[in-house]
Amino acid sequence: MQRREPDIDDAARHAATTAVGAPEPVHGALGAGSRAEDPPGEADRKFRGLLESAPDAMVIVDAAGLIVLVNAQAEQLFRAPRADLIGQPVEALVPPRHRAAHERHRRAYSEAPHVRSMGLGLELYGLRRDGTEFPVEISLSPLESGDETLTIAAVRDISARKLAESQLVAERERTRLIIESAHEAFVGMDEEGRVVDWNAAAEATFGWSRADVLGRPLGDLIVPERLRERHQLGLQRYRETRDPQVLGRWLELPAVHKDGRELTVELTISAVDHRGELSFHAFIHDITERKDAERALLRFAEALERSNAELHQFAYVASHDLQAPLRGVSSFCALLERHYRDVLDERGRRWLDFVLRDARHMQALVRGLLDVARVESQGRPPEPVDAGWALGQAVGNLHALLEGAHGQVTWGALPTVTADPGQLVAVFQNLVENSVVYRGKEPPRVHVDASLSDGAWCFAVHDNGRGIDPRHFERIFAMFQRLHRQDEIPGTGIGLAVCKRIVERHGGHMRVESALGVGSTFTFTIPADGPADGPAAGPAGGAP
Amino acid sequence: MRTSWLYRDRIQVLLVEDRDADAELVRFALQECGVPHDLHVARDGLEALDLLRGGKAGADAPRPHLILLDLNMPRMDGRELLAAVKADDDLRSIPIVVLTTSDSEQDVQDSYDHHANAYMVKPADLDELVRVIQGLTAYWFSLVKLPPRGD
Repeated sequence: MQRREPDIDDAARHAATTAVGAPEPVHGALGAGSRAEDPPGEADRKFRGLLESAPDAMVIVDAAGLIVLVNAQAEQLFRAPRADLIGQPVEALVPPRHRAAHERHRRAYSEAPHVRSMGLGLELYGLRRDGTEFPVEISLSPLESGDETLTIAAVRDISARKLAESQLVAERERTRLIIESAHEAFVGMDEEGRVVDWNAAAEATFGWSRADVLGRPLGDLIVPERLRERHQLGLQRYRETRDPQVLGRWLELPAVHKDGRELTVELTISAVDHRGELSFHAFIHDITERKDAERALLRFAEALERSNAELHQFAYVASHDLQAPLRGVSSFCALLERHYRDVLDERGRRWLDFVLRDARHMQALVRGLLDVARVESQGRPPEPVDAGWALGQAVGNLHALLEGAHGQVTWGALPTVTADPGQLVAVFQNLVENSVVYRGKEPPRVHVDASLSDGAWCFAVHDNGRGIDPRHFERIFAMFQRLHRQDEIPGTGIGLAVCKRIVERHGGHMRVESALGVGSTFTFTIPADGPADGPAAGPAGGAP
Repeated sequence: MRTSWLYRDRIQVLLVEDRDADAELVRFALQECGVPHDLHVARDGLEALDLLRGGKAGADAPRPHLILLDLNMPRMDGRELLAAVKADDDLRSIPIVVLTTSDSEQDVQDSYDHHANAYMVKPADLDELVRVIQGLTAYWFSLVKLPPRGD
């Protein structure tokens, strides 16, 4: 389609001054503005040159909406040679769904043409010959040429920009979702201390909704009144000095809920200086419940310790003060028995005997109680002790008993452990003594060995005694619990309770394995954490 | 055991003990030892001091050759009496043997720190008590020399 070419001079001038968003309209009357010196044809070349060199795609459209001129950029952009474009309605370059609207706007524009960005706020798309679309930004300016008005459109492909924008939006959205979905409260404030961020967890923690808090001073909302001034001062100080005193580390602070309740929260605060603007952010979680539990636990532990100390004191004092009158009873019964037995008849002597025996038994029980209480009160701090030495001491103390029963004690290599020496001797002595006292038909044979497992030395005292019924395994460690009558085998039932107390005081535990008629093995552990602990140190030994 | 009599009069023993049952047992044990003696009993430290200083309670009481001292007593206990006697110029030369149930190291240390002459633990068993008292009398009345007396 052949069209009259627009006035070249005007077009040249216009192309030279038009850029996207250029504010100045150019109204060129025919010839006005052209250089009088330019020969005809020269201006034409200038115009073409300028048009072709323009960085944007240029499309010139007449009043009827037909394309009259395009540049090489436009050819590239729309992927069509100019021959195919010139003479086409400009709507051919617009996706079909937008054509009607485009035509309407074009007609309206030609009523009142002016320089403007086209379709501000609208998503504009260009259509290529091959049917593909691409997002565009368009600037329009009118061009008077003789008696008709042309429109010059500068078209820019903004696909890359659009992609970057959408990626940015997606990123922002993702970040927002992450913060919103966080279990921890996320709170941000500007440098004046006003709330700028408040996620869903913050709403749940503090009771304020987002709408309530945005723009309000954080101090007024979640900082308890007595601490508000400090909060403000801290903010001010940071603004002035940038000294990160409370930033970047875990803090435990009181906070206040919307309903007035005081909470305890744990938080870290960070400051962000973004393009000269300061803001603060904190991840906060409510530890009120945890703190309450801690306090309750502490109170409980204190009460327990008090109660324990009282109990120890009680046991100690009771057994101490019980000993004096018991001594009197026991001694005078003995004296009565010796010096007045002739005055008593058979029955009287028997009754006196009962009194004497019970008194003596009570004395032994009270002494036993004292022994148990003394495990703590007279316990010494642990030190390196050669277990072989301790066992040797115990065996020596039991010399008479062992000899009388033709008993024999042997042991493997025993280590050095960290323990209270006297108490370790007491444990061995009690166990060996039991092995002899509760012997079977054979002369008592006791063997002691030690092994290391799980960071503790495990001592085992094996005997060939009468054994223990499994259902009594727990009972025998309780105070005063015995499996035999006084007249069968005398005893107080304290020995194992004392042993257990001693072993537990050292952080170990004690148990028994046994078979009736075969023998028993008592094992106890002593944690091997002391610096003096060494592997099996002492020589193996044995003693009758 | 042969006793050697260095003194013209009987051995005077002052027992300071608050429990009469325990005093009775010491009395019995001393008698079993066969040494002629007179036993005086003070029920607490104050009474003992009174006796020693010839106060109204003990105006006629002779000066003891030996004091047997229990530690835990009301009003003025053994520790205080020990300190008072050993601080007294006139009384300090009288040997004091602490005879008490306590076997605590602290009590032993304190007693010697306050110049007790000896510390003995009072046994719970009667026969043991007799043996201990026998040892005590053999040592103090037979083996060692006591401070000379004017009388």
